[in-house]
Amino acid sequence: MKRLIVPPLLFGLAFVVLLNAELLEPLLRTLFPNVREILYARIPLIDLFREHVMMVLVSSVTATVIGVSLGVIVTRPPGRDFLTVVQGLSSFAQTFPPVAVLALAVPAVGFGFRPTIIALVAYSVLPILNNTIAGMEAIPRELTEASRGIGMTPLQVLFLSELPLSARVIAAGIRTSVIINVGTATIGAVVGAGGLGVVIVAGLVRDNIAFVFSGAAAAAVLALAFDWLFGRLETLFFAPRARVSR
Amino acid sequence: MLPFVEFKPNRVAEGDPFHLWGLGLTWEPWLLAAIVAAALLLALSGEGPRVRAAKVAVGSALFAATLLVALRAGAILVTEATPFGRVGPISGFWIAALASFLIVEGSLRTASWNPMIKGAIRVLPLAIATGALASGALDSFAMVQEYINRADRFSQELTTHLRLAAVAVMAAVVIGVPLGIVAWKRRLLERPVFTLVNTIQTVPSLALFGLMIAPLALLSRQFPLLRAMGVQGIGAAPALIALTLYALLPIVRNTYTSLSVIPNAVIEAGNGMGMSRRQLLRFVEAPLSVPIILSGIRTSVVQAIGNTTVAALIGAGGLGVFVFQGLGQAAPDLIVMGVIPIILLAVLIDRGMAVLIGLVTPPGLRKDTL
Repeated sequence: MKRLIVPPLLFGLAFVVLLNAELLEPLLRTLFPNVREILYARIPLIDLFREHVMMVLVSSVTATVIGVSLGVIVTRPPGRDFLTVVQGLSSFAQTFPPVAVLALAVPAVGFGFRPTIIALVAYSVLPILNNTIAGMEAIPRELTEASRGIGMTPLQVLFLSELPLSARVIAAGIRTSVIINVGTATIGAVVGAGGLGVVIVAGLVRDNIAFVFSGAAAAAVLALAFDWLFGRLETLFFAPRARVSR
Repeated sequence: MLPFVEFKPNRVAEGDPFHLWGLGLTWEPWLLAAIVAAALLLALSGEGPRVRAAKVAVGSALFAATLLVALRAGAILVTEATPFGRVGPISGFWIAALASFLIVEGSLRTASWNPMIKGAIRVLPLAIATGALASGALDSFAMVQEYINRADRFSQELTTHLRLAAVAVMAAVVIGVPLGIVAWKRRLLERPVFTLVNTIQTVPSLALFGLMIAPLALLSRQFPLLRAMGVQGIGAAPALIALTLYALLPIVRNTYTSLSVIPNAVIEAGNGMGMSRRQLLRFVEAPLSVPIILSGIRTSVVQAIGNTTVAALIGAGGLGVFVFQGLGQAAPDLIVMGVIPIILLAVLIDRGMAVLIGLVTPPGLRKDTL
């Protein structure tokens, strides 16, 4: 019970302090007494925070739809020919640094919100796709055969048997890509996408530690909160099976 | 057909797109078209070892022809009348290159050839491109011009990039391996250790770099000795600390895993054979766990190459300098010039580590890690 109450309280408190100018100002003043311009005045932090969350949600939802569908297609009989190729390519593409993908999106589509979303989707599809394939491949053949044996149609086998059985692994992939997206979206500020990175970059450019700190702290708390949320959802939806330990 | 290359009269001008047949080339476009036709034909003609070999050959030829056309285009478009002119490959070129990669890689994946031959085929296009670069044939290319203008700076930043990543990963190995062992041996510490390294890895890289700045700036102000050593709020010191912290998770996790997968029975068998503690470590435990730890290091290095790019934003240098300069000046050629070596580094190091892991894995445990 303690683990259900304490973290959200902490995250909530952190957000309230970090995103509320009146509370943030005294904190930054005590931390950085020598900095003259203490608050990033151009855009309220809360707006940047909202932009950041939007970027992550839009790209993660899109990536989930694409990644899971692709994973399902290549594990069906008609798409099976492409399985090894898709699997190989997506694990190969995962060695590309996310920043590199983000930077390459700019020559391709220009500056702003769009290239960031495209880069975030392109990159975060990979862990979801990989995990969907892994989840599907890990299902024992007898189980899908049995589903077919009791008269399920191929669609029913997919939705009632295969997807639920691999949901845990797919969810882990989604969690990974959401965390990657929070991080890459931060760098999105450099390509003009907005988000919390804006304050960090402004601080770095103007040599203002207070800006850097406020943006970095908010981005860090956001990532940790997302991670915690996914961890909770995992234990909530998937039976708290005995932890795999020694 | 998509435009193949573009021509810019100078660095900042908008590019003029050129189609394959609009370049005034004679036989080259036909060669490319013939190869594409052959590739389509092969795609329809079933499977089998011969088809696979043909696909690999056609795919490689496609890459060579694509590069050749781009080269010829450069020679035709950039003349003495346009000394600042430069050509850049655009959609058509990139699609042809991607197609060649997909064809070759797709057939190599399922082929059961000698790994050495596979490796050679994979390296071939890289060798061709490097050769073209070294011969000066690519000099009219926009990104190559960006490179030529900064050749000295480039090698300097490349060294910085590699050094930052290497030092950070080495430090992470020194800290992470013992941490993994401790987490395994002392049950009480397992959770805190993993919570800590997981949390660090969750924090966005730019945020972690940012959070390093304030405390280090403070330290540097308080202790002149540190300042004299070059420890500052921005620069290499915060970058190295953040990169090291970032590299910890895969190493700690894999060290832990490597210990947990050694079956007790195997250790007991070793004991039963009369092995000393030392022999047990040397002949049983190390061969089983080293490959797993190495694959953790593999993940860490590849990640570190990417994260070091971001470190350029806090003034640590590295290849990210070019990327962010390019983004700042809205100069796409400069961006590409910075990004390509970063991707190549990540991919090459990943492959190299895969080969190394394959070599140290006991023959009985080998899978195709490539």
